[in-house]
Amino acid sequence: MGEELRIPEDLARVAQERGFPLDLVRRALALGFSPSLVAAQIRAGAQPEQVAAYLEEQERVRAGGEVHIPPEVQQLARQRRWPRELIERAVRAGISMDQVKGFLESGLRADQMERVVILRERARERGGPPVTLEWMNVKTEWGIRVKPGKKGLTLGSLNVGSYGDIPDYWPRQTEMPRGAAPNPLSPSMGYSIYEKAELWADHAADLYEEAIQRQWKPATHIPWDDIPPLPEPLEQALCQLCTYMCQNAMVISDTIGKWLKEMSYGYHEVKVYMATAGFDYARHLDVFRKRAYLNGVGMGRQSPGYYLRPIKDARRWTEASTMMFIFNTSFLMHLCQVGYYTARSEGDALIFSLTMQDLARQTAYGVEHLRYFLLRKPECRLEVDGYLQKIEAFFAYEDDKDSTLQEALVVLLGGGLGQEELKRGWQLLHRFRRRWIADYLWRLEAAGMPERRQHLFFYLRQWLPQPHEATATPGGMS
Amino acid sequence: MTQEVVQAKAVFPSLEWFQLLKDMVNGDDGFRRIGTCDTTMGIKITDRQRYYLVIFEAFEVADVREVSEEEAEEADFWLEGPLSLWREMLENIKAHGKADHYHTLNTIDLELPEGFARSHDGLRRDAFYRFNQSLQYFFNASSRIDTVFED
Amino acid sequence: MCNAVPHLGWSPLDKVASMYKMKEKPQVKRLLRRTSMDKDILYKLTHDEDLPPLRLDWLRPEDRARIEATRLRPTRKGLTIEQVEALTETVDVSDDYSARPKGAERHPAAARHSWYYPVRHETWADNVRLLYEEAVQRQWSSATDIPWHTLRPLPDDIERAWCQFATFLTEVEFIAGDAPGQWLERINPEWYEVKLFLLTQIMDEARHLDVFRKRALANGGGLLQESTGAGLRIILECQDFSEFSAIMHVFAEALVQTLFRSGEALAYSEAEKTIFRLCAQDESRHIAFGVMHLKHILETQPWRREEIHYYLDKIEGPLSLDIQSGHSAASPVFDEAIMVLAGGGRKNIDKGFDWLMQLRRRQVHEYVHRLEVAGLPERRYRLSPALRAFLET
Repeated sequence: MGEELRIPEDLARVAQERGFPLDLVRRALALGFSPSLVAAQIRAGAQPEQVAAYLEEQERVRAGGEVHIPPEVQQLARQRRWPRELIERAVRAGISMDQVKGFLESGLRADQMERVVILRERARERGGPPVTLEWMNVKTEWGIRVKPGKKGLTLGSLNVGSYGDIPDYWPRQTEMPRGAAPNPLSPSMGYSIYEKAELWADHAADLYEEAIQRQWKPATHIPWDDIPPLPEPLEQALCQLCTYMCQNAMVISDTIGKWLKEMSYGYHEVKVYMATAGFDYARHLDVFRKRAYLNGVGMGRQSPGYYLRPIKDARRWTEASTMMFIFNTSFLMHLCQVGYYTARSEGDALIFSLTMQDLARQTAYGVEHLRYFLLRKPECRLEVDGYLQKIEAFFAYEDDKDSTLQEALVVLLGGGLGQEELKRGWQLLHRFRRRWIADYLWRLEAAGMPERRQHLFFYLRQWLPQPHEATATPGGMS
Repeated sequence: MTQEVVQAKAVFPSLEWFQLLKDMVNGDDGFRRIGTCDTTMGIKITDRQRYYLVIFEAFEVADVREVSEEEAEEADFWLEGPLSLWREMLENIKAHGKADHYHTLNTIDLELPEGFARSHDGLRRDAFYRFNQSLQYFFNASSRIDTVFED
Repeated sequence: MCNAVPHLGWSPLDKVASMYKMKEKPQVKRLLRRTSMDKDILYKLTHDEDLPPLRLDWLRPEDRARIEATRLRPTRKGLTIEQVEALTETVDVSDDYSARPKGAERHPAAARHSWYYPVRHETWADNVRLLYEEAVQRQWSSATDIPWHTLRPLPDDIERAWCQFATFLTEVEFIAGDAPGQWLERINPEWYEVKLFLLTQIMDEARHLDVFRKRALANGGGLLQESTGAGLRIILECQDFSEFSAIMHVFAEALVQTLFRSGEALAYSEAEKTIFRLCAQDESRHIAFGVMHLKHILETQPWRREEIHYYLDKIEGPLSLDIQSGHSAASPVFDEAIMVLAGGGRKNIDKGFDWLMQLRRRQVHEYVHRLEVAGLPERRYRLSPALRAFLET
């Protein structure tokens, strides 16, 4: 028989620990099964009797013996059109008849089974796991050791060396992370935004980390127990405002989700920041719905949604971003300011101030992105002006057609339904709207579009600062 | 978030007052738990021509300085008002342990026609909203200071 | 605000408004000194301005009776969606394609916003509310919650293996962010809880992309080889929500979660252990949604059973043999990196291979078990040969 096959120490130890006969181990190794595969089978609980029967069959067929194919396997093979030779080859490659039956039952075609057999034959030839380890030698920048700073280990701090080279155009259609070595087999993921100018904001990574740090939890952060109902109809007016906030949050988060898959992977900072923005809106939808139901009233009337449609209809990310994060967010902040101002409990005030915190991050992205976009694509200035005209016009259309939200704000600000209260509410609403338009235009100025002040949609001009009122400081309310 | 009661005395406005506030807040875990805060805030006490800069970085107040009016206006935003306005706010904080709804930074900002938080840049001014929780916590800490107001 | 709650006091403007008739009084003069514009507001408050006619038809008389009739009180878990929805009716069918929040009064002229799924079963899972609240409570920060200072220098082959492992994960995690994102606008607002859950998943995956990129660049290494990605494209190609959920939540994320839970053997520091633990926690929620959604579909739409098998065939069944390369739907580079890590270096790659095989066994067993819980036990016999081999010895 020749010299007895030596069993590697590790494998012998595994076999002895499990009470597995060493003789069977030796026979398996003699048939060409790798030590690691044998060890894996022992650890998986292979029964010595079953293994012995299998090895006996393998020894017999490899010595030239005929492969016995049970009738039920023959029948399955006829149904799947497997030639007999394929089954014989599979068994000789070390695949048990039970496994062959399993493959037939799982619906493999003959050509698929042939590939399985080829892989098994190759593995046996190699005598070990099929590894190349070529990835260890790819030519990417090595030796990077970014240390945590005052804010911990931040995403932005990773942009060192070649990992900080953020190209103006991202050439990969795949999910390759920036700085990795490309794989020519990788398929396209179908992104549509490959140009940095189309989505970038310099501080997106910082905003991402800030968003995570300053997250709040609607269920537990708000002192729900300490929010008594407002006198009616103020409670109803507040619930109407909450309804609007819920609807707005839902549409904006849908829009963010829709655009996420368009952003190529080279600009992951923006993608992850948008993930936090979507999560912000989830929490807004959550908190405002809870507030509406807290004291028994519930949701009010939906808004017709005309004004939100152009946001969903946007065909360019900058269009969507400018509408969402500059116009819409400015408007939402105005609503939150009204909500905060009229709050009569710490809980209500906290809801609105925390929401404003999140919204202000979004305007920071929106303004920075627009600024970046216009610096690099000055030829698109009029195009952006057109987007702003559009969203302002749609807002005017809805504000004029549906007065529900306005009326709710008037009731909240006025404090009731009496004539004097409503008058006061109306005046205060105009005051807040003037502030909203001033802030909105000021943000556009920061983004590099000061001229929007002259082009502001006609309906909104009623809230421009009055000529006789001094604009004491830029952006201050007048 | 509750703040520990530690009494110290200082005159407002003064650099010492702001430094006391800085030290209190930096030793307070509640401030840290709100999250990172990265902004520069100017303080203008207009009728006294006193100006300060408060620099927030990561989880702490990194620095407070007495500055010129121009330097205060180089901050992301500044809070501007006469001493009477500041006094009313701080006395309210002292009396209640924190600002009541009518004396929060937000409410004062909404009530003043020119706003309490001002800036030369519409983007940077939004830091007032982004970090409002932290800024309010900062001023609320003044409840632990025995503040003496300049005449 | 003339009905201000007394203990909160009145705002200065209210004080001014109420005292305008007494404008000579010292206290009014003091308040007027505070701002220069109060006079202007006073003027407007005291003169007739044209108040447009208000409809006020959104004020419902029945709401008056409801105020305080039902007051929600937070429990130990705070105020949850479950408590809110106990007051509402959850319908099974909705023909509303506007963006109307659940329970809001319909606006007769509301615009349609999207082609939402009209039937609840198509996207629902019974545990979705609980999972959303849990996700909000259990957010973590990769910047500050990972003890990065515990990372220690590793032998070159192990550091390279870790960096390849991290490169793969930072690459693929956000597919699980992009994919849910594309489904958000198809989820009907009537069952908004599913939207909320998907938004938490997108947030989770952003954190995973971030934490693994940080690991690759925090210990003297760098990013390495991109994977083949064929399996990931299948997730993005889904044309149905249940298809997407079965492939991504039940199959793909389940495999990853088992890997993370087994991560002790691959971790060389407390930082890495913490990464695995926190990521596994997130993935568990995603799987829980997927399993319960699949269960719901099979219970409410039993005729879709073979359809679901087709979806799973694509990702792990016979069809996957043709459209993907390698044993791992992930990538050979990922498997090799795991082998090096588990073996403690490339010299012990055999030992690493053993560990990988054991992991595969665990992954497949847990996957099949989850399918049994979901009501698809027969999948055991329809797995691809590559996976089926791990069910047998």
